[in-house]
Amino acid sequence: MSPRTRTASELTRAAGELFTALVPAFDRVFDDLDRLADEMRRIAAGAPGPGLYRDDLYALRHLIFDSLERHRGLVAGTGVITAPDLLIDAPRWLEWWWTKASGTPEELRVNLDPTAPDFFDYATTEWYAGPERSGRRHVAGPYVDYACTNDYAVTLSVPIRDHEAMIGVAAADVLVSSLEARVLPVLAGLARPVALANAAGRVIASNSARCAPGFRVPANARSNAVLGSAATRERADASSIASWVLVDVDQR
Amino acid sequence: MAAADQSLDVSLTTMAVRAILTPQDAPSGRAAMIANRLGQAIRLGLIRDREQFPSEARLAEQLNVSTVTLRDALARLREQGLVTTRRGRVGGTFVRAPSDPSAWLGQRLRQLSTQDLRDLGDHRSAIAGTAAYLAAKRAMPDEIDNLRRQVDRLRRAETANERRRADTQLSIEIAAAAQSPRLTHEALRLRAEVGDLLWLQLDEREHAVAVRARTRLVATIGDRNPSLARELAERQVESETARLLELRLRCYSVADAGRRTPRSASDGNSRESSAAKRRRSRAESS
Repeated sequence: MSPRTRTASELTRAAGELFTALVPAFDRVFDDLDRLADEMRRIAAGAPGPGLYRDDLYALRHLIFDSLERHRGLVAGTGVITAPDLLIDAPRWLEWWWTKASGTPEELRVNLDPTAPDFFDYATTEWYAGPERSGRRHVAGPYVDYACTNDYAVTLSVPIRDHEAMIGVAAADVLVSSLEARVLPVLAGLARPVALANAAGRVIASNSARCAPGFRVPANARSNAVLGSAATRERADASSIASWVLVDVDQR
Repeated sequence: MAAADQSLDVSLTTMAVRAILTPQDAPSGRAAMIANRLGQAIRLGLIRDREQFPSEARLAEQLNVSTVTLRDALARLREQGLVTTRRGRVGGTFVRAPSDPSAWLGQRLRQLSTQDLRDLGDHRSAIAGTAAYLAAKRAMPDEIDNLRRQVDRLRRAETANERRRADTQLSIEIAAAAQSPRLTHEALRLRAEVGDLLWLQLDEREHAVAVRARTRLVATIGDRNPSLARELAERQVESETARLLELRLRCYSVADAGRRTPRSASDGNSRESSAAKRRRSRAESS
């Protein structure tokens, strides 16, 4: 076996291991998002008269708090974001909670007034527009989440549709630093410098000091293995992180 | 016992204390700092005119200060005329944005020395330069597209307010494209500190120059030329700082000219005496 083939097969094996290590955790978070989405659909369907008000979304809070509690250490914030103009008393709205340092849930406050200097135009973000476009589970980032956690995060999101109409997304923020704790134990055992990156080539975690989170993987990287190809086709299709790649970042 | 006695003579060095505390932790400066930052937020429009403040307990919790400190800070804002407090059933503390921002800005500029402005420029240059450098290395195509959209927004902006908003957003998005939460936070904080001053008496020609410079900066980030991006960002801050210094220096010559007329002389005196009065009353009460 040539060194090159050995590298490739090592990468594929590690990609499989990572997939096994990450997917169940992500799936559990996504399951909670599906529950949130179902509840939101139920609320929207049951609304009497002309439509929905902000107060109607209070009923989501117990699910949100449960989810924050269940995924403590992984999920930094979660909630439902309404499609623009869905609610009668707020053109844009987030029923979103995050965990403060003290451990108690705190309501996110962002400026939703389009004329304000710090207007949070969420409908254009990847975590909103992505699942809106694809109709599927989506993982956006990593990116600097300056609106909420002020940290480096990925956002998991699912679209919420009422029949054909988009009524919002359910989403959860996962800090890159908490992902790293699950990724690096797998990468640390590898002899070669390797990085986990998203499909666009942004590094999420790496066992090499020369390739830190947030870097772009070098264009001349030796070889890579797509996480999804290491899993069975059925599971890969269902997973939003199937397009993440493991890259050998050694630069000749 | 002996150990306890010895410890009386031991203290941390000033530099160690400064490294441990951020400046706003100093007990005497905390209320002033909160008042200052709240004032900036009001002037930047982050807290809108006529908006009601939360209860003192809630606001103190949100800002992570004691209610005593918050009350002191609100008293300072009341003195500056930036908030009013109404009693009764529909009572509470309400924002009162300055009716003529440029008058206030001129006053604010006079409170800063040329040394302050130069140092603020140095700090901004370090943050903006590094953010641009790292963005050129790290930004993905969709992030660069987003930066281009922000520049377009700035180009189309007509009012001073819209321009301020678009440019603030651009500088924050560049730091976010650098993938650094710290730089993003610092860019936002520095914008709050300097932001409104940058639009003081900015004319159309200067706006066009600023748009051209930012277009070139974003194109350079898109070309993945980190060193040039840093240089362009630094140059932008430099020219903005030079402009602020010029405006500041003009205040000195205007004040010198004004001193010869009795009216402005008495204005100056009354300002001084009210500040002195406040200092005195604070010294007496403590």
